[in-house]
Amino acid sequence: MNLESLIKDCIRQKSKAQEELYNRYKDILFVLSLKYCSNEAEAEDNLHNAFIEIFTNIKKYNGSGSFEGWIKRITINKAIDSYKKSYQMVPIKDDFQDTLIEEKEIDFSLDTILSLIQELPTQYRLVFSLYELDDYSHKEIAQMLEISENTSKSNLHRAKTILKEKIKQKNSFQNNYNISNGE
Amino acid sequence: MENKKDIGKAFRDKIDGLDKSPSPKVWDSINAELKKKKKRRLLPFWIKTTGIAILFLFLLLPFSTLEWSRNFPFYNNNKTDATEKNNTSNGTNDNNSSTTNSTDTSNSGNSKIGHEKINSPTSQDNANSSDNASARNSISSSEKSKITKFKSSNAFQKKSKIKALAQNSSKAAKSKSKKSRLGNRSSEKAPFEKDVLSQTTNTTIAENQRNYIPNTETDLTPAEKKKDSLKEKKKEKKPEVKDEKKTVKDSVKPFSKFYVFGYVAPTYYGLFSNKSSLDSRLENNKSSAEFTFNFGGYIGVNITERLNLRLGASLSKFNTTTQNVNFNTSNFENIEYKPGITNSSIVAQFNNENLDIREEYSFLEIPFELKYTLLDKKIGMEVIGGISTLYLNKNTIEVEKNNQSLIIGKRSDLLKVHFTTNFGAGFYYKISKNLRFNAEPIFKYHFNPSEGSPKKISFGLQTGLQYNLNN
Repeated sequence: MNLESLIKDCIRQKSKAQEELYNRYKDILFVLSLKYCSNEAEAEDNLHNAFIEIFTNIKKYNGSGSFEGWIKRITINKAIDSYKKSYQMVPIKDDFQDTLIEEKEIDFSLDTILSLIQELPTQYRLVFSLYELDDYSHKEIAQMLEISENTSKSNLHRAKTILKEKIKQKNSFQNNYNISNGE
Repeated sequence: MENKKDIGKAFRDKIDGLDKSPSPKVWDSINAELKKKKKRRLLPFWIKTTGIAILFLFLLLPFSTLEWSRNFPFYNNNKTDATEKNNTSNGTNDNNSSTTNSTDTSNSGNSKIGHEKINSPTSQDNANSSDNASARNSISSSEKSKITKFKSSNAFQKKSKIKALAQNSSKAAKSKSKKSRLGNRSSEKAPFEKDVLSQTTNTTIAENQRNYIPNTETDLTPAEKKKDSLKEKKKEKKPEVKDEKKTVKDSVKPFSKFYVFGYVAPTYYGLFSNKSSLDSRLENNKSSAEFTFNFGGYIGVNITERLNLRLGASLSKFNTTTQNVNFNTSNFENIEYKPGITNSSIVAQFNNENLDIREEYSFLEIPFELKYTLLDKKIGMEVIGGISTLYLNKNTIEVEKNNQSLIIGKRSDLLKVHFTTNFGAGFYYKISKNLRFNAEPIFKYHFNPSEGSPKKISFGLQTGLQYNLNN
C-alpha cells in the first residue's frame, strides 16, 4: 500500500493501517528516541507517546512536507515535552576546552556510542542530539527548549566536553585492560 | 592533528549506522490505547446526540406551549379541572360574600356608603376582590380563545401568589387594627405584585360597579330584600359557573397518551455511495446496495397534542454486492476469512473467474424519536427526528457466481454497536378514532458502521398501522 492511502486509512482509524504505519516507521523513530532519551525503556515510552500523537493528529498532516519529517518532529517534541516535565537546572561551567578527537579514539560499538550519549545530563543530551545529530540550529533549539541561544551553545559545548572526557576514560580503561591481559 | 574531527561529527558518523527495533510490547500498548480512545469517543457522541434531541425538543416547545400546560400526560387532568373548579367555586363564594357585603351595605340604606366602600377597599375587600378577579379572569378567559388563556398562565401564577398574600391579609384582618397593618403590608409588597394587585383590584372595582344594582324596590322589607337579592345572585352565578366548567372541559381536547405502531419498511442502505469499502483495491469495483424489507414497532407517548416521544425495536437488514471482483490477489483487508479459506483457495474453487462479493448484515435497531405534528386533520403530517442504536446481529460475506455461492467469512471492521441520527416526515390517514395508517419516509445517517469506513446513509419508508391505547 502506498503512503498516501496508508495515511488515508489511518485517518479512518483502520487498525490494520495503523499497524502497518507503525511497522514502517518504528525503527527510525525508536533510534531517534534513543538519542533523546536516557535509556531504552524511556525511548520505548517516548515512541509510544509519539505514535499515539501521530495517530491522533494524522488528519492534521497536510502533505506539504515529508511525512517522515513530520513524524520525526513529533517524536522529538515528545522527548522534549517529557524533559520539560522533569526539568532540572544543569550547572553551566564555562570551561571552554577543545572538543576535537581523533577518529580512532571513538572506535567503539554502536551501543557504547549510544550509551555515551544517553548518559549525558538530559538538557545536554537534547541539545547535543538536536544540534549535532538532527541538524537543528541553536535558534530553533532555544525556542524548543525555551532557553537562550547562548545557553544552547554552552550546553552543546559542555556535552561535547563530557563526551570527550568519557571517551578518554573508556580508552584508558581499555588500554589498562589490554596491558593487564598482555595484549 | 589532521585526523582530528569535531566530536559531534564523529558521533553522527557513527550513530547513522544504528539500527534498533523496539520490543513488540510497544505496539500492544499503542494499540490498546488507540482502542481505548475509540471507545471514549462514544460518550461525546451520546452527549452530542442527546443534546441535539433536547435542542429539538426545546425548539418545538414554543409551538406546543398552548397544549403543554394543559395536556401534559403526567399531570393529572382531573387535578387541573379540580383546581379550576376550586378557583371557580372560590370565586363563587367570594362573589357571594361580596354580594352579602354589598347587600349589607344596601341594608344600611345608604348606597353611597357601598360605593365608598368599593372605591376605598379594605384589606378584606382586597382578598375578595382578588379572588373575584381570578375567578372572573378564569371565566372570561374560558370565554375567550385558548391562546389568551394560556398566555396569562404566568399572570395566573402571580395572581395566585397575590391571592395567597391577600388571603393572609384577610386572616389578619380578623384580628384587631388589621386595616392599617394590612395597608402597610400591601405597601411593603414588591412593586410588581402591587401593580398586579392594583390591576386586579381595579378590575374588580369596575366589575362591582357594573354589577351593582341600586335597590329601587322600596316596598320590600330589608329582610325580604336581602333574601331576594341573594336568590337573584345565586340564579345569576350558578349557570355562569356551570357554563365555565363546561367551557373549560370543552377546551381540553382529550387525546390518547400511549400508542403502538407496527410497520414494515422497504429500506435502502448506502445511499449516495457506490464504492466498496472492503478493500482499497476494490474502490473501482461497482458496489450496489439492495432494498431490504425490515420490520419493527414503536411504543409512543403523547407529551402534548402535537409532540410525542417514541421508542422502538426493529430488525434491520442491509445487503450490499460488490461486482466482478478479481480474487487473484492477496486477501482483502476488511474480510475475516473462515479457517482454510483464502483468496487463492477461492480462485482455485471458482476457476480463476471474477466473482461478486455479497455482504449481508442485520442489526437489532433501537430507535428513540420525537415527532411533531404539523397538520392534524383526517390526513395529517408530522416531522420526525431522533437517534438509533444498532446492535450487530448477522455478519456474513459470501462470493457468488452463476448461482453458486460460498460463505468466505465476515467483515472484520464492522462495529458491534453503532449509531444513527434519524430525520424524516410522517404522513397519516385516520381510519377511525384510535386507528390510523402511517407512512414515514426516514433518512438515517450511520455515524460509525465500521472502523474508519465511510459513513453511510440509509433510507426507509416505514408504513404500518398505529393504534391508540387509551383515550
